[in-house]
Amino acid sequence: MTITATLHTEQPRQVSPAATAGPHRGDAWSGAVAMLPLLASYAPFGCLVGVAVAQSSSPAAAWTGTWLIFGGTAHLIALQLTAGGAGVIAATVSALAVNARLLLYSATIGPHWRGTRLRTRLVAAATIVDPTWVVASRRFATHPVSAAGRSFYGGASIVLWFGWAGLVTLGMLAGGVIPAGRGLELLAPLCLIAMVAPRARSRDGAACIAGATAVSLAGSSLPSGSALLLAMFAGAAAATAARRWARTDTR
Amino acid sequence: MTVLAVMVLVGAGSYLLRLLPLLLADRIRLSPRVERVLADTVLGAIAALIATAVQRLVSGSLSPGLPSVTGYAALGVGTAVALLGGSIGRVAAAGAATIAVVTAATALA
Repeated sequence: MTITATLHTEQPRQVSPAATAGPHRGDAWSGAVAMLPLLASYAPFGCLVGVAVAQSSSPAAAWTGTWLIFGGTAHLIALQLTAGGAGVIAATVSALAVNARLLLYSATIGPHWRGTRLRTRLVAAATIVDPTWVVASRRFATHPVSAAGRSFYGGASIVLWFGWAGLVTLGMLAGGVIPAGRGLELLAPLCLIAMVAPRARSRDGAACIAGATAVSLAGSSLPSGSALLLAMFAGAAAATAARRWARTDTR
Repeated sequence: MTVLAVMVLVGAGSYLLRLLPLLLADRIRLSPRVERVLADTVLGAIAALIATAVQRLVSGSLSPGLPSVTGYAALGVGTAVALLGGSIGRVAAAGAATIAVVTAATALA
């Protein structure tokens, strides 16, 4: 509830008039509702992380990663590497390489937090991850009023914050009972496909996806997280090249 | 102790990655061109995550008990629904329905 109050009640101090126009409880509620199908789709993945937590040499310590890391892929990689005997530095660097994309997620929605108080940003930053970024960036794109968008983000974040912890805990406690390998693991990638599909219709978007996919597949044998980093930049380079090509074509 | 240290370090690093752009939002104004490149990089990251999932499906590590053809069918139908403008919920539902239908059809055959 603290998150709601912080994100909901504070007004930006120095932003455009449009950005200060009335956020209300309805925006937070809409964000919470928008997060529900994503949370359901991430349920198998959350349980999978929970099973890895239960199998860790220190389940209680591993479980704290649910809140501290708040990102399934990096959490899973950190657990797998420590279970495999990797050192603290190797496991940390690998997991952080996977989470490097969070910097970009934050940078793309960051302008909507201009003029807000420090504590608002400190709280909001804790929950930036793929699902919250998806719902927030869509909301900001279609409804550019920042204060309402932040309330929307707050509602979505609360649902994911507690929902994700619940799923990991469920997987940890009942991992053996939950049927694995029935295809439910595909739901999370399907959500990601739904996120990128609209951009695939444009030439630069398609080039970005193709470039990143090719590099990701080609670099699959590289150390954990490296291929993801390379793919991100390859995608951006491909999109930029496609835009330049399109400009040259039209001249 | 090792597990706890890794959780704390990864957690702290991840939080800093999330926080820095929010803290610098007032001081740094990005040009539209840079913002576009950032958006492309994010798109590239998500595309790479999808590619990794497909690769794990092919290798059998994503969903070990699922026949590959069922996985491909689910991803194909989901992609088609997404390209037709389906919401995240609809895409996930279409994929799940495909898995159920193909699994049932395979069991009957």
